Amino acid sequence: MKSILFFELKKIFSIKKTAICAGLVLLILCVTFFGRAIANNLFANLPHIKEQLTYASGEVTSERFAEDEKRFGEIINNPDNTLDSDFESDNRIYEGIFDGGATHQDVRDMLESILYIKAINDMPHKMIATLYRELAEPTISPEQTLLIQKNIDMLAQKGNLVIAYNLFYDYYNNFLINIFPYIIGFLIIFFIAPVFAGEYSAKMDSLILSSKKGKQGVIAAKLTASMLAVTIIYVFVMGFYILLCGAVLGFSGGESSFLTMYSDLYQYMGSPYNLTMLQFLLTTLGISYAACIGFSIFTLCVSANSSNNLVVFAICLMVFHVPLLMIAFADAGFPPIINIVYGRVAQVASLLDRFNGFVILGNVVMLKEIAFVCLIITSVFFGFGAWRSFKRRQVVN
Amino acid sequence: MELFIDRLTKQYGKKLAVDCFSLKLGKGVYGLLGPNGSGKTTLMRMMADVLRPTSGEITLDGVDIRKLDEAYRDILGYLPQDFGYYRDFTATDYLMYLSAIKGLEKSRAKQRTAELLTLVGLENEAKNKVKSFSGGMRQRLGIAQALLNDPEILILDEPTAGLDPKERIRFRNLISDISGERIVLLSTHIVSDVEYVANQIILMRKGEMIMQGTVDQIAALTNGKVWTAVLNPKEAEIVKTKHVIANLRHIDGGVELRIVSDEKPHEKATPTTPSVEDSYLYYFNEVNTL
Ligand SMILES: Nc1ncnc2c1ncn2[C@@H]1O[C@H](COP(=O)(O)OP(=O)(O)O)[C@@H](O)[C@H]1O
Ligand SMILES: [Mg+2]
Repeated sequence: MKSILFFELKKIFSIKKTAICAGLVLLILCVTFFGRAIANNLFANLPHIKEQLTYASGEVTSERFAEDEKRFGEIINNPDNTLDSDFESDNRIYEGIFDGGATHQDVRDMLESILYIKAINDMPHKMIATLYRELAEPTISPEQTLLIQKNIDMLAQKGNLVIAYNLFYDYYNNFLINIFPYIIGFLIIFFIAPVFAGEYSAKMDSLILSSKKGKQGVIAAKLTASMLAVTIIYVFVMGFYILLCGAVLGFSGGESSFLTMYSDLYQYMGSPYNLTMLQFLLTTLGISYAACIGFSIFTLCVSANSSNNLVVFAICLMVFHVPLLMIAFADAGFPPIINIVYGRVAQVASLLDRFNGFVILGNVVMLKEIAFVCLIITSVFFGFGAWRSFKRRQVVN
Repeated sequence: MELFIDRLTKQYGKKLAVDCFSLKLGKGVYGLLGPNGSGKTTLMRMMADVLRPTSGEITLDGVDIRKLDEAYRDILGYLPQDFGYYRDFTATDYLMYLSAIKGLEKSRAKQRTAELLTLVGLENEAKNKVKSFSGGMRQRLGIAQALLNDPEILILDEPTAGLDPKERIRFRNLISDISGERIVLLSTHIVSDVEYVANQIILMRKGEMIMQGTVDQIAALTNGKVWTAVLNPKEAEIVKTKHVIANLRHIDGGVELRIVSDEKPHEKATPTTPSVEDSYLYYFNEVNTL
């Protein structure tokens, strides 16, 4: 078994193909990171952002702002002066700031950040209030009641946000949503699609299937090798990006709330979950890894049923990338259940960013739990399908 | 050890590729002889457990080979007619991989790989990629892989395809050397491949077995039906249109013909000793394409 596994890995990671792919991926990751950093003028702004978030956390009083601080304190601490939960800018506040003679652009930015974060802090209360109003509606169904109740319970557990400099997590999150699924989906297809289909097209199937272990040991080795390969690819892509981010931005901020992503406040502001950044990182890594494993098993199943690598490529691309692109270009009008397709689960965001519950047999089940169960069921199903298809393969041409 | 093919049938749509084929195989070398499309490959695929029969079964000492599963494939060596390789693999990688999936221990795999590369004359190519090999070299590598697990049942589908005359002779000798305690079945549409090594010859046509016997028995089928004659070109033309010609040679004073025919084809013809090839021609009425 061990030596078969070695050869199966050798076939998956054939040297030329792997070297070209690894080079390309590293290039894309660097371009992604530095592209975004340069577009946001990150390197010039980094000290400023750090200062801003540290200030917002209340840890440090910046001497540079001391003069304005008192005046802003009045604005910030005035309960009337909060931005709406939908973040429409409140001109009154801005006018107050400018009329008050705010001198620095960065001071204005800072104030805006703090107001936003305050608004997010207030959101659970506002949302709970709205939900109680909905609950009071006479037309509400028992199922809706259950869902709203659950939503209220979750929101009520959220405490005050911990704020800190956490740009590393912000970059990670942005990568996870916008770049990672496309890359990893493609790599999984590229490396895993030929696992079975390649044997057919290389006419190795008659040799394998007539060998002692060809109908059992080889299949087990192929499935194991594929899981290992996907793990290696996942760790390579994610690991490189995380290290790159960490090296430039530092890893700090793990204790802050995941709702306070500096540049992506909108993404999770309505989330009922209560995670620190570090928990968010580990959770999302776990979920997206599970999606990758699930998708690779699907790919194996398609691969075992076709002798044409291109057909396998096309089918798998359709299943993984098309829903992602559809939603990216038309982010409306899809039922929430679309978020359990492989690509969306690999992206994770849509499973955590809002309350997505369903009543099943009288219990409230969250979308991420449904996604998880579906992932397990389909993996067993497709894994078995791949196994059976290869074992029963008829050599006819 | 007895391999029994019992009324084996394989149907593709309406086409019967193998039609109720029955055969008992004990130890020895069997030559499966038949023209292209006669169902040799289909039969051998079913014997190699890579194709399900439409009906009928193959048993080894009374047990269906598909029930025996690993135990059967453990003692099987199979050279498919058309097989592939991996672009990145050297000859050694290739044989080591196939050893692994045949369940050989690593040390044994190494030893067998080296032995067999030498046996098929590829010892100097061990570290070269299979993709750089010629057709004949690949075929020899294929023969080597079939022997890795020292199989008791050896099924070779057109093993001499792509081999040059010297390699063919080497292959024949190899088969004679290893034949001892095994069942060896090799298919071909070239009579001379099996004439000298096979204990038994099986003639196959349109999916059916039409004859089985020793080389002498098969040859004897055309006793009194093979003739030679030296004719002038004009006479030769007439004979050629009416009879099966086994051989034709231009010599001084005319054309020397070897004719397979039930009756005397020409008054100048004299009977001669038949060979397997004559019988093959007699039954398939087809000129051998070498
Ligand atoms: N996959 C297939 N589909 C349909 N017909 C097939 C298939 N494979 C083989 N045949 C037919 O079965 C017959 C026997 O083919 P084959 O076993 O390859 O003969 P041989 O090896 O003696 O040349 C041929 O007529 C061929 O056309
Ligand atoms: Mg054939």
